[in-house]
Amino acid sequence: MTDINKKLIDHIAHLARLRFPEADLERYTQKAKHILEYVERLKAVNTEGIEPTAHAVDAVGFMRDDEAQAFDNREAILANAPERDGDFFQVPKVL
Amino acid sequence: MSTEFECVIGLEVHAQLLTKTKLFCNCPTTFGAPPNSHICPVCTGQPGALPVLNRKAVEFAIRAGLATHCTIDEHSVFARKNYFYPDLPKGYQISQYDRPICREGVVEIEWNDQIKSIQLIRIHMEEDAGKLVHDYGNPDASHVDLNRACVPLIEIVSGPDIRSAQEAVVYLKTLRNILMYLEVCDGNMQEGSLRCDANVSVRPKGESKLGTRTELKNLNSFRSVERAIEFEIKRQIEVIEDGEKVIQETRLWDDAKQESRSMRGKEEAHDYRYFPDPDLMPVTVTQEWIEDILSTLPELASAKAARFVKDYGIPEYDARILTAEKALAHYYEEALKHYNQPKKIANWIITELLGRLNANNATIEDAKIKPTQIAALVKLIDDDVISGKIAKDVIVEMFDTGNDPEAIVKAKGLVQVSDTGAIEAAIADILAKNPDNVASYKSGKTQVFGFFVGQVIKAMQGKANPKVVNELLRKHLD
Amino acid sequence: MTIDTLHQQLSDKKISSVELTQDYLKRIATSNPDLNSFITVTEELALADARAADDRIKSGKNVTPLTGIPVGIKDLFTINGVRTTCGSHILENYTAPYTATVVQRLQDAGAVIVGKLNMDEFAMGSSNEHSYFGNVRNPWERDHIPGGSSGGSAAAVAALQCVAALGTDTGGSIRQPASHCGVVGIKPTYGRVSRYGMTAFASSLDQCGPMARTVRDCAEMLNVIAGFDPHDSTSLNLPATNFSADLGKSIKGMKLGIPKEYFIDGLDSDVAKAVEAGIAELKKLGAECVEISLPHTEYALPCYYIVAPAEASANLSRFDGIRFGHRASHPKDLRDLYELSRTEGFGPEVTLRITIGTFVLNSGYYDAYYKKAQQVRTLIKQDFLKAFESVDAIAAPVSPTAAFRFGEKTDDPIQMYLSDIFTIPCNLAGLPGLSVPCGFTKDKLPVGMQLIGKPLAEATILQIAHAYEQATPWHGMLPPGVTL
Repeated sequence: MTDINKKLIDHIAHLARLRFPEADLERYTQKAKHILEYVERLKAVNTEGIEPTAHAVDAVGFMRDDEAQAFDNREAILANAPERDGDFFQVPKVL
Repeated sequence: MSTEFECVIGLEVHAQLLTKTKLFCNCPTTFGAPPNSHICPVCTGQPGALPVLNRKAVEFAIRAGLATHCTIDEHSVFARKNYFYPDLPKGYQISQYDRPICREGVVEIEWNDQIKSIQLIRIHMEEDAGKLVHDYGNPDASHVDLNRACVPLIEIVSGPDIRSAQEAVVYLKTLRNILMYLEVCDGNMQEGSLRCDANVSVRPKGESKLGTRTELKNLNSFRSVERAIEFEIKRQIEVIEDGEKVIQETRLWDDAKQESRSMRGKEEAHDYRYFPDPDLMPVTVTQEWIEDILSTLPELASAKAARFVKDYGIPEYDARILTAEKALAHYYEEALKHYNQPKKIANWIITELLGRLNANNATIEDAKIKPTQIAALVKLIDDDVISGKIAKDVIVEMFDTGNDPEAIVKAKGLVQVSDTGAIEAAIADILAKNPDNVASYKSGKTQVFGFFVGQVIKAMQGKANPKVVNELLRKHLD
Repeated sequence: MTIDTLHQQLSDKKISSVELTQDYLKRIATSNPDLNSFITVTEELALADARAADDRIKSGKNVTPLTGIPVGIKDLFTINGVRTTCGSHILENYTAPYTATVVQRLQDAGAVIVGKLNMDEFAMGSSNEHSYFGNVRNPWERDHIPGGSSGGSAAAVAALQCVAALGTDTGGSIRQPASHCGVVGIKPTYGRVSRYGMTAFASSLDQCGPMARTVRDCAEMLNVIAGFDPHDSTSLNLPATNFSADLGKSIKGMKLGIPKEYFIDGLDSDVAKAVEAGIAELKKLGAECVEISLPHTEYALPCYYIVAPAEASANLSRFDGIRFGHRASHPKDLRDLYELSRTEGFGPEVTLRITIGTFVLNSGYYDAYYKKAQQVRTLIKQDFLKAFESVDAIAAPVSPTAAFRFGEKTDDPIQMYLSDIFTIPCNLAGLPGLSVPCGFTKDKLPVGMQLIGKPLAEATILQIAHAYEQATPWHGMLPPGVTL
């Protein structure tokens, strides 16, 4: 069984762009550990040779035609920007 | 004695597909539009927006796969590649991972006068990211433009089959040519329609195990591909000779400094957490669709060149030049339709037209001279209407104005003079003015004959038919 | 008040849609401070929709059963120009720039959108205790949860704040709150209803469905929202189905499977009694009930708690404070911006699930967790397909207990998750399932019975539910203090 510890959860949190202060880290580690231990019971199922299911139903995906259509409400998209500069979304300097 | 090294190179080429719209939404793909003008809920990752696959992009990917002899997967799968970056709206890139649309192909290149096969591991489809602008006024900020986000790309991954920087360039040029012939990519490296990363490693000659590789990024021209790989090979050999180990890393090529630098430290420990994108069903490609695409696949450069040699009897060298670009090959064949003199027309296109286009940094598409006009020019020479020399002046004007050669010849009175009376008068005049030379000739120094021909033609402003001048001169002198 | 009675009154011009809408808006204004089922009341939009509906009714053109009917929308569907919060701080001030397909279809049918309904943050929860905008209270008993995540939708329908509502169901989020609030709710077959404009929780499990006070009303809603959408490539391209066509037909001779794995120790005795009585009633109506086995049932919950967080972890990456949503103030660099905005913006349950999802997709654990779960999902699906070789539909409880008290299960995530143990298998298999009221506990809390159908057999389970509903008094009952 994987050892779910604070170091691992801290690393996972960073991958997910989350940041836990020490007290929260302890709590999330305990909860995650609890859940991940619980889901380990799947190990009891023999899945040898069983195809994984990624989609609930088997259907042929729809493909669209290559016809341009401009979105007519672009300003509403830009208006949601927490920081906007002209028609750009602004972020802190990326080096 | 120092060890001899061999380098091992594989290229990952990203080609932007020439679709009208983005991979998963209806926004146009036009280059150079004002910032964030081609955006919608899908390509900006609004809550609830969903991707819908562009059929044309799939068709183009299949086309590229078939032309490079790949196996087409009838059920390829889109996956999410998870990472955070401001130019990536959804926090994941929709790409293909363990089920790419094409795999196991081959590109044949001409290397050291032989055909060499470069294996392709895979071709997969993916969406492009947006653009981060760092120089938009505010020095403390970067700016996000999502016009390019979600534009369709194919990534073509070669095997580690390339052995030198020059060979890598030949491979890239060949691949670019194929994509352009297929009309799936415009091949424009400056605008980023074609981008290249290189995986480079070195090993002692004779060793079969691969050395530690580095990945070179930001190779935006053939020259930078060549220089960056050369730089990297030298660097790796030096590292090894110093008794150190090459570190697996990504290195960024700086074209201005002509050197690469490590991206270690700036780069995250990547774990992309790929998994099948639940928003997209597997891409179903029927055998019927594949055959349909196969039947409309254009003749590629190598096949076309072979056909030109066989059918038109032109030298292989010429055939290769004429097929280097699809538009040029088409131009040549259009000219032939008008006047079937393959060798002569090939010469005029290669020496006169292409030379001028190159000097002007222009392509065949920019040429004002139409294929029918260049054919007409060659015909004027063959019909003795103008001399080859005059024709060289005519083509200059055609190049500048796009006027018909007949019109230029007529307007400028350049029609060749074959009238024996006028030519004889000129000959008599020249002979009279050069008694010494006449004497020399008569004494056996027949090489001065050429001098008389030149003088006569010059006296007639180049319009005299050289054949007639020759005949009459001999008659007068002998 | 049901859709067909109101439709009749509107058509007969006994009441106008504007009057009707004003009635409902008044009711919302009175009861919402108590129930907290609405996050946003779209009064202006509603009145505009109502006026347009009245025009349609007056002209007699394009009048549908939904024309002029006030409906509520779970606050994870986008409506152009309307705030869409998903019950989250991170979207507290987000105004959607486009309209979800299902909302558009409702509007095209002439429905009146009265507001956006409260929910567990990003639909993650079974109690509505995870909304940034506060708990929704159960109209039957204020200190009990309404269920989740579509708790606002269920409570609003039960308390007559709207005639019908849209919910979403990823692991039971329509059926469980419907059961807890004594209303009808159906989760259609995966792909039946467009997901475009429906903020994703777990894309391969999410499905939109209606909640209403009667089976017929749900069918009417489904008639409008179902169908292929070129903006959702997972939506099924099928001929239009009339989901109300079989309502009223006898269920005599139908074969119903009763899965033994759904009647377990953890099942509350009051709930068991109500569901068993419901099954007995179905037998009386002529259905043949046989015990069946769905052997992998116990693995559905662990399977779900790998698949759903995995998909969610990626789905929620777009909430990064760059293009919309909450951005931390004064981030010192990009990493700060990401980590602070997201940590501040997401509540604890969402944060936990993103963490779980990120973990199980991690390359070192992918095969042991994610791939394994997908394989188990195949087995769960096969269980159902095998069962459906011999039965027409499956009858079962919706949830092991009736609505519990606030705070009762907040400390133990597994205890909370167990509340969805009977609804999750349906989502994993992509099957249609509904909850229809089947009685009350000793504490006067509603209990629902679940009917699960074959793929695309919504009409069948609606037919069974309707027959049952017409034979029982439950659908006519109203929470204390709520009057027509």
